[in-house]
Amino acid sequence: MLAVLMLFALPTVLPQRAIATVTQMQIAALFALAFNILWRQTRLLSFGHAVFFGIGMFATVHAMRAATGGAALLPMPLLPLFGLMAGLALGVIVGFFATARTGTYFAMITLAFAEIIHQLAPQWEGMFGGESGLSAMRTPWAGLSFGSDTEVYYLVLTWSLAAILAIHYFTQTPLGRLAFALGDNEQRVRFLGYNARLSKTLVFIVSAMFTGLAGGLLAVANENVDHSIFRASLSGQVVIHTFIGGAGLFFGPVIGAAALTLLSSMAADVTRLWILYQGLLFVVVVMYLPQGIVGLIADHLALGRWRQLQALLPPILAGLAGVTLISAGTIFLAELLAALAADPFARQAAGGIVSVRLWGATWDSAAPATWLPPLYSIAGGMVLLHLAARWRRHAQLSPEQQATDG
Amino acid sequence: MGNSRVDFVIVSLLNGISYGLLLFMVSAGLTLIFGMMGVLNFAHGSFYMLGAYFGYTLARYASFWVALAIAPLAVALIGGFIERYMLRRAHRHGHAHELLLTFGLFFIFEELVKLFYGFYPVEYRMPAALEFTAFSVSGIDYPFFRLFIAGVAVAMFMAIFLLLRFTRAGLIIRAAVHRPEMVEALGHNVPLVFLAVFALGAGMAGLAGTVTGAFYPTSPTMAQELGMIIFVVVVVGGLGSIEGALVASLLIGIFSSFAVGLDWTLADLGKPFGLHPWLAGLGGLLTVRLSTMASVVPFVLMLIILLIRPAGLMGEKA
Amino acid sequence: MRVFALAALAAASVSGTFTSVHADNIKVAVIENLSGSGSTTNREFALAVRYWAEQVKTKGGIRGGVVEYIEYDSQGSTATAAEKFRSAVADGAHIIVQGGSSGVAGQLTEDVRKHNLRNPTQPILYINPGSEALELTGEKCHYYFFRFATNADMRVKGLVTAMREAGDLGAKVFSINQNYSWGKDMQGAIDSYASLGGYTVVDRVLHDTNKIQDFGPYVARIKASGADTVITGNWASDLVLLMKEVATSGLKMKFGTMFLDLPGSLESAGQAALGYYTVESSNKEVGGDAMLALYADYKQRLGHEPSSSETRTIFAMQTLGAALNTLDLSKKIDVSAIASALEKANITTPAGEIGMRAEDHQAIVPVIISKVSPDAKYKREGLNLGFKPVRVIAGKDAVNPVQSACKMERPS
Repeated sequence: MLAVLMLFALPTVLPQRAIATVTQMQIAALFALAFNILWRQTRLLSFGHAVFFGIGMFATVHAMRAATGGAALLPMPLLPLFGLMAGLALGVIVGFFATARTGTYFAMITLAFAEIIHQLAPQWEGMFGGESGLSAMRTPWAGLSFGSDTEVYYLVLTWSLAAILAIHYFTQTPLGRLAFALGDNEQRVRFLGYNARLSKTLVFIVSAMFTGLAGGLLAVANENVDHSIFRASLSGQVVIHTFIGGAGLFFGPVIGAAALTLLSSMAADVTRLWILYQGLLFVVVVMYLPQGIVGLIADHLALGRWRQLQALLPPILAGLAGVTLISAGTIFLAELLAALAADPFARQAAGGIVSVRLWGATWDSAAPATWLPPLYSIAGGMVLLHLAARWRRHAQLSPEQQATDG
Repeated sequence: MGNSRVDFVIVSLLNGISYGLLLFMVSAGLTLIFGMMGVLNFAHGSFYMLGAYFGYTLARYASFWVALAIAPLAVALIGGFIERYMLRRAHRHGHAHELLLTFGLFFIFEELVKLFYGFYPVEYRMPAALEFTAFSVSGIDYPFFRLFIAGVAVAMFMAIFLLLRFTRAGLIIRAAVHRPEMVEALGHNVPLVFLAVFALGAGMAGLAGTVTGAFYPTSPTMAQELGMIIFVVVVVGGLGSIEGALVASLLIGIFSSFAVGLDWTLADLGKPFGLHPWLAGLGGLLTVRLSTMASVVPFVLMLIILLIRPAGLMGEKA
Repeated sequence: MRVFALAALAAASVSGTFTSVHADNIKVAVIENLSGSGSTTNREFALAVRYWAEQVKTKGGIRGGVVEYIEYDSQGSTATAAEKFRSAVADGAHIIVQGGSSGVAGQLTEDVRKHNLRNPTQPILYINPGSEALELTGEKCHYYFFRFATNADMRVKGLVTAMREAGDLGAKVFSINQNYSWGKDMQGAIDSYASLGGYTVVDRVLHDTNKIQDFGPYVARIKASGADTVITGNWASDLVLLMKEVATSGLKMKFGTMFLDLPGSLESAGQAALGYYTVESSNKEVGGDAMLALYADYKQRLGHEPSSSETRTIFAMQTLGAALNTLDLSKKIDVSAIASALEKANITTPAGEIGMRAEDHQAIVPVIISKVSPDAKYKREGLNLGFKPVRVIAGKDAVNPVQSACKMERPS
């Protein structure tokens, strides 16, 4: 509740340029949340979700164009509903076919559909607008011109909150509960008499629907769309956001997507290795933190009482320090390597040994003093993490906690 | 006119077969890995790319032949490392996490290559000794290197086939593909088998990269471009079947080659019914030519196979 | 206390006077693909603008006004470009420069147009020195957009005129292009200038952009068509692979290209490109000492000689500079005044005159047709080949007619 109030108050404290970024964060968060309906509940991994996002975006842009042409079917703030409907329609088609199979085959079907749509879209110019896509404009409504970022922010915020409530409500409905059961053990569900295929398809459609809504919101925010929205890397991005956040929790993907979108926006101007760092983080999370970062924090918070947390303070601090050291060391090494590799012209001239300017200081690539600190930092960080894990296991926990913990 | 038609068919067939064999070299490893471990290795295209880049680096400082010998081994080592220290960890958390891991690795490899070698394609050239014309077909010179690529692919196929069918190790591998628990119960070191197969698959993809990177462009987007198509090959051929991978690769290679020259459109289907002018008038998707749509057809094929016969053309019934 | 208050008041009024004498900085924001794929060619536009901004700084600004250069990375994606545009607006940019992808250009020009509609007192100018999609000066034209690049029509018209004159254009042309707006524009242009060039187009192909590894099937199709000349708008790997495949297959073809001069392309193709034609906006051999001085200065500051994208951008910014020079920059920056000055701007570059056409804001720039030859004065690194200029066509002869789709609304 407090969080909601804070979100409403945010534009008053943020500078203008940050407001648009927060809008983008919300949309990414909704996208990830909608995607996770499939995974968290039915354990279905879709690698082609960008097509629902994209079709929602296109549908809404078309609706906006119709509105500026005079044929408004709905008031402007309600136009993302077209995105929702488009996602629903496409979800029916793809969902029907994809749910015929499970596991890896399911993923491949979604991948195939996504690639087909991605390849065909540029050909259909009437619908998808060719290279520079289609553009539209927000039309005024009820006295608001929707010309400013702040007004767009509130519109997107309202929709996002409504969608989050709706998705949460869905998890409580019989179908939503059934979805969890399907994820646990599909065969048992079948034995209970339910039509598993139909249920999976319905859940798929719900996921696609909300994804389309997210696309519609981006259409309202950006007022432009082109066929590159169907690209595979966008489907991959939502997967990465969800799992780094924590796919097992309701809010995991929301926080993961919001945080990564923010970092991406800030980091992209500073380093061109941002995608590498994101990939490394993703791999580390997949290997060592299956509950995601939010999951890790939530596990700690679930311990509730302050005394327990106090006992865990050393491992937590050690863990944080370890992570910081490893990150700092890795980033330094990577940036150093990138700076070296980027200038082969200079490298050749200097016979392979060159000074590199990084963050205002000059580093000599031949000196051990340049390479050893980051390596030590990484090694030290790993030692700290190891210690943190050990301390956590040995931490004095109360009997009730010992019973519930691990 | 008739003569140039025949010429076109012959050249397209030759091009198609050599491209198909390239696809086979990369997808053979992928299909083995999936058949045995159930892991769809998203990073398989990256092994291909690494083979090309290692080949480029070694060829610059030593020679192409050194590259040919060493680069695939390096890629195989990387594959082994990934299996032993990364995949097994992720396996604990479930099948999907293995998939996600290989997916993340794909991103990492692409970014690492961009870091070290830049965004540009690199000048990886075949050795001058191999840069000559093999023969002439209807006025078009056919370069020897295409035959070399095909030759390497065929040699690889024979080696794998003999290995799997006639050696004890091959027997164990084939058994482990179908019944890993049983093979383990019989006392064999199945984790070692998994490691070996993963490394072998990676090495094969790496070999493909080292050889073809000298002919085709070597750039950081190689993994992405090829990666999608080899999924199609593996699905169509049958997950786990080497023979299926060969058949599917040739099929897709030849189709891609011919499709370039064919300007058929969906509207043409209406020709025998006299509906062509009307369909052509509708425009949109109906008038897109096959030559521009060629890239979509393999995915439609993949979809059909997945829905109707997921075992693929030559795979076992799942 | 009173003394203190008076002193403060005096200080305030003095500083107030100073601020009214010192102009705002003219903020030029470059939104370009600096780190995504394809950035190696696209970031050249940013480099060139940065060069120009530094030149202006060393000359003490324009009319006393300081030019401030800010860079934003669009990462090659239209969504990120839109986001960076909003950042640029929030940072107070007056002028946006972008030249890479036509897709991003399409997005940006619409964003600029909408922003100007919503903020008529604070419009933003958009200069594009690199995107060649026709629609930017066609159905998407608007008063605050200025294109300093050529387009498909101008290039093809120049190419076929020069090739025909030199006797290097055959009678049967094979048209092969990439399947997106630029390639389709090219295909249309090759068809429409057939009678000017005296050829028939025997076959035409549109293929996936920068994805194809194997051009063997296309060469087979070229052979089957019986063509003797290939005209293509392909660039980067699509061009290089096509040329290499034609060379290895032993087919002897005359070739007309648009982007052979981009860095890396000729070096990759090597001897395969001997005798091939290309269309450029600038060539080191054309323009005498002034051009050589520019090349040398650029190399000294940025480490490499400018490519034609970079020279084109420099000339575009110099045209902007000429426009700024006619204005009074001592007060607040008036972007609409800059726009109307830019419409009338006219400069003489070493390569020829550059002007701006008011009807659709397409720049009138010269077009240089060159041939790959060992006789060129300036050879590419590691190669004994260079681009020898064959014909220089002045802007007014090269430029294509105004498109009927452009309905520009002018401020009253």
